[in-house]
Amino acid sequence: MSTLLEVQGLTQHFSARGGTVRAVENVSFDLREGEVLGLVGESGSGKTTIGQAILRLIDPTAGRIVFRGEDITKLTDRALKPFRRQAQPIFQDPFGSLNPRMTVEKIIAEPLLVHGIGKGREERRRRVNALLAQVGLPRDALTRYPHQFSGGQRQRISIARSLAAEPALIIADEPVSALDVSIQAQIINLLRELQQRLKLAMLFIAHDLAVVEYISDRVIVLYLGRIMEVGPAKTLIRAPKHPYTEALISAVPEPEPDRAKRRIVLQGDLPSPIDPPSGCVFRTRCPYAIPACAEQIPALRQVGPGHRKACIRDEIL
Amino acid sequence: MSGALLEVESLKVVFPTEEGPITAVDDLSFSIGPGETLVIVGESGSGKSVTSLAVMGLIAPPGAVAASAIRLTGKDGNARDLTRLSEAEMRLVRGGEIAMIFQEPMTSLNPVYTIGEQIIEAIRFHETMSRRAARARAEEMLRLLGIPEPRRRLDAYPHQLSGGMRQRAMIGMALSCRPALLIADEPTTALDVTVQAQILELIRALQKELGMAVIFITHNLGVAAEIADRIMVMYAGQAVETGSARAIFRGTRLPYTIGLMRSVPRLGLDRDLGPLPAIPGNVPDLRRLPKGCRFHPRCSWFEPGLCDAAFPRLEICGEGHLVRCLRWRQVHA
Repeated sequence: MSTLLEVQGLTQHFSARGGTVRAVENVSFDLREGEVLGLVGESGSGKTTIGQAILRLIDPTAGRIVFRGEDITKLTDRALKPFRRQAQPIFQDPFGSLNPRMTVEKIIAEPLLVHGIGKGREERRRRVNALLAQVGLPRDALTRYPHQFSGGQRQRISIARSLAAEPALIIADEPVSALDVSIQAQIINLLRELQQRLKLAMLFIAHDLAVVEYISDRVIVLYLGRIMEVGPAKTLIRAPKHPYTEALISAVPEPEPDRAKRRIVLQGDLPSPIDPPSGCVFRTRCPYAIPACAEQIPALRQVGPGHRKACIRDEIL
Repeated sequence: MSGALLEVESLKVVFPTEEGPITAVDDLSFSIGPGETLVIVGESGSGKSVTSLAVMGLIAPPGAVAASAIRLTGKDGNARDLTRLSEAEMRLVRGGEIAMIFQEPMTSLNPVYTIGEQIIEAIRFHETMSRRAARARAEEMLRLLGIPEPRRRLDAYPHQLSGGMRQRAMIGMALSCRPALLIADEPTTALDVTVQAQILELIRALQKELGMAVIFITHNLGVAAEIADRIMVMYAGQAVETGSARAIFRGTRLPYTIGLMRSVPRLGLDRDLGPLPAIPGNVPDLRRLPKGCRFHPRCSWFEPGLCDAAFPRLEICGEGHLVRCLRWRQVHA
């Protein structure tokens, strides 16, 4: 598969009281056509910021975003329009992201109007109906308003809206974490089925490792704005090579009583992104840290096929 | 159950709405023993949070609470019915006998007072103690909670602490009067997993150290498995299954619990096996509950003419294991 999206040296700084927040620091990765790439990390890891920068909702401090060979980092709003049609977001909160004053038909038809898809009302309505069916909503949803739907159904509406412009790339930021447990699986199944059928590429941003592993082909693990590890989803979860990934996996509570799990409880707090530690940013909480870890920022190194980690120690994992 | 710390009998909580009254908790009975951890598992609208607020006497009008009894055995060894206490008496129970922590620590911490001032106030409200002694107790509590530099942190304002530290400070305030029962309503839901692991470990350690019972409310089955002695599953305002953690996780007889366990993706799950076995449909609207079993429209064991006609009662299906399903004898995971 050919490369759809290249992120090169993406850096995002924000100025705040007390200094510069280094939200994302020199992050590079590729996304192939039809591939699902998971972005995991805890709060402050920069995962949401990366998604926003790719969508050009914020302007990167440094680095390049290349979509199908074209550098979109510096494009004007007007020049961005074709890209905006190709790259669509799905947000976490299906309550806040749908206009409460618009009917479902208007919500889903809006991207069609914006991008001039479908000639006339009739064709647009036909498309909206097809989209509703695709996401498993009844036809009579058309004339209703968002508040008349449950959280899961609202997320289906926002998925239909994202698909309306026939994008090649979906940026989904925590798309199931606001939903009830019994509804999450429905939406995960729907996203995966649509992704496979429409051969969509997807950047799947979430904190839930099990969900990310299930839906992603590859996974990037972020900590304090930097990539710690990247690799094929199965390999990375079953045999993590970076101490942070190992700790993250070990912290996930599993629905298995009386199973003694070896847990690495990280000590202390996330360091300030205004004044991150020297060298490896994870070293202040890493159980394997040695003095050399403070000396230089570890480069991402190959540790297996398509598998890289930013850690200078090899003998630990 | 004799020797229970808290016994709730036939609790009912009703809220009036424009579309008629909503019964958020319906005929709920349960008990918890000293030092025990009961996890209440449920989704939105299950009634899990309303139950804990009702026990605390915190349901505000027009919400109405009816219960045969909410019996608490106090630190003095005497049992009292909380439904018969005055508001002044309840204020002494809250914080002193039963403490509660919430998902969002900023809802319980006052932003304009330091952490120390708030903990000291809580201690001195319940116990006769000098400020100096209360401050020493507060400092000791923060140390027990694994807060670095506890003396300095006493003088910090809530906004100066990280999310995990704030959660610890709130737990510190809740536990400063050594309650016999801690009610924790989704205390780790807003936290990152590594911080969640810290807080769960902390609650377990404190429980051992202080011999306190915990009612832990969560929607996360993994968290439940990690900390529960017993589990009560709630759905649409009712208890639908109760049993030991082992009985529920290894031998549930309830289609809803089975559905929840199967639908949650686990680490290492092979997605090539096909889609996740999701529970169809939606969490029911309490204003429009289905007839008969409240879960029947979503249930794969549904039997027409039975499940949509008769109202299931809690039945004993094993030792200490209750299940609300007309077909539990046929149901297995």
